[in-house]
Amino acid sequence: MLYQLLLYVFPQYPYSVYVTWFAPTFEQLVEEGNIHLEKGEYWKAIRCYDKALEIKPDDPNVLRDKGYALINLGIDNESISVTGYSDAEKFIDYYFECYKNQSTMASRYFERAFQCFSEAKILKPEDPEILFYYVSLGFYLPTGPDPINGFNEIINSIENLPPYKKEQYPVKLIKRCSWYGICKAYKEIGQEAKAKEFKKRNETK
Amino acid sequence: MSSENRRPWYKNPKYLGPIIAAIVGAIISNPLWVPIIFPPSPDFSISVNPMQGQVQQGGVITTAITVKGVHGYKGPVSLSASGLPSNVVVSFVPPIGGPIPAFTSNVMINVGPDVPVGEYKITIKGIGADGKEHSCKYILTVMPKGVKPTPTPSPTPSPTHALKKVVNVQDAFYPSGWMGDWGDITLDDACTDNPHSEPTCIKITYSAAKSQGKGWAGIYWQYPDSNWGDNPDGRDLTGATKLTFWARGEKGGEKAEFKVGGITGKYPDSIQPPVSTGVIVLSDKWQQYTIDLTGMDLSHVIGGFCWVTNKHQNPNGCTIYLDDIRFEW
Repeated sequence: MLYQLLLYVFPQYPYSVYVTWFAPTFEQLVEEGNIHLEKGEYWKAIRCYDKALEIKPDDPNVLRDKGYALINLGIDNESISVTGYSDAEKFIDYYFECYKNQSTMASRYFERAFQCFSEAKILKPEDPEILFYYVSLGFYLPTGPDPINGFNEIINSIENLPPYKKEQYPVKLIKRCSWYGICKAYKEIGQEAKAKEFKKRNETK
Repeated sequence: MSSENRRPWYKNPKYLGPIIAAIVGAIISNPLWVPIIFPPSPDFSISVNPMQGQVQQGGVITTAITVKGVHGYKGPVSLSASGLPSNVVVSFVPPIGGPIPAFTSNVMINVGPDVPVGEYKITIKGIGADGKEHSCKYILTVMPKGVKPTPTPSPTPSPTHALKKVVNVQDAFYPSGWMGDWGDITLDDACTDNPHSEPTCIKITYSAAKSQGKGWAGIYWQYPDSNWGDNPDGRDLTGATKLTFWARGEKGGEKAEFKVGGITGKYPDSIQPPVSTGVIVLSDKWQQYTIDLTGMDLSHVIGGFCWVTNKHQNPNGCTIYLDDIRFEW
């Protein structure tokens, strides 16, 4: 390693100086974490995100991405990976099915993921993607928000966005998935008529 | 002998008058000369081939319209369709043309997933610049999803097929695959600001604000909507040899990369790895770019087109315009 060689040549400088000089930057750590996340190397991704969070503890995007890595550790189906807004409906289906069938899943990772999305939500309350996963993950957690109110809150916050933001495809998709979430929530409490009403809204693109 | 008697008989003024009268009479009375003396007004004819097709709900079917000029018809003829059930969209490429002597327009019929199953008679009308109208009928059979349609013969090429077969990406794919810093992207797919082909073009604005903390952004035009390789459907574009598109930057100097295919997943794109233009520096004038697809497997295309850029290429963001994105045969 270059810094070890420099330490040998210039021993007067403390080791910490070299570590600081040659340590990866926040951007490098996030990028490395994202690559690991895409490859399905979730623990490696979490390690990168944790290091990045040591540099910038209040970065909502890193917290969100760490949340995704934790969600994937909780999923016991290798064919499903959740890495962004586009996996919203897939995640709801998986999550609800697992609880319904009482499948084995590592719920402790979902709890930790929920924690990440909770912190990210405080830092970036207007982000519909973060809000969506926060509400979805909290569905079966005692500390989670009421799902019907939570999904409604997402829909309302999207309604209040400027028109060009509302037209962004991911925002439209999250709105649709929030209706789907409400539908699922009503089904859970046995209100089939209400569930059908929101299912229809989800299907209307 | 008198000099009069020495003349040939046809030069004799006595016979000349009747001869001329007989010739004129013969000319006028001959029907072959009628069109020259009384020329017919220029007109055009319109035909569709194939005349019918079967498609599943949510599917797309193509046919071709040929407009032939008759008696030197020169005016442009614009095409339109009527008798469509709701959620069926018909697009013509090109929608207007001059039948000198003929032009062919490729017709793409997009059937929504909720269109009721049944048979529909679609009227395709050509309207000339002088108001002349001619129409033809196309029978569209919508079948339930999952029922395999009987193959319809493809349009028979004729010498008048001056235009090659094309599939318009804007009609056949959805700009649903927003990637990276999607919050930095604004997409206007009906921009009227100096389009390459009237009436609209695509305008993409990238703010480089790193909304999602990624430092890059892009959009995939997908089929079906939001297909990241988890849906078995896709477009069969076998035989297409290239993808062409027109692009320009707002100021000039904007950098971007464009690709075809490359979506992975359970049901991936048949084009692997994606075919790319590499990073292009756009001019503020429209320029055409081509992606060569010769020898590629186009049997299952789900990522029909992709635009991607990053903060490094455009530190202050950029606005670019795209138009006429087409697969060509």
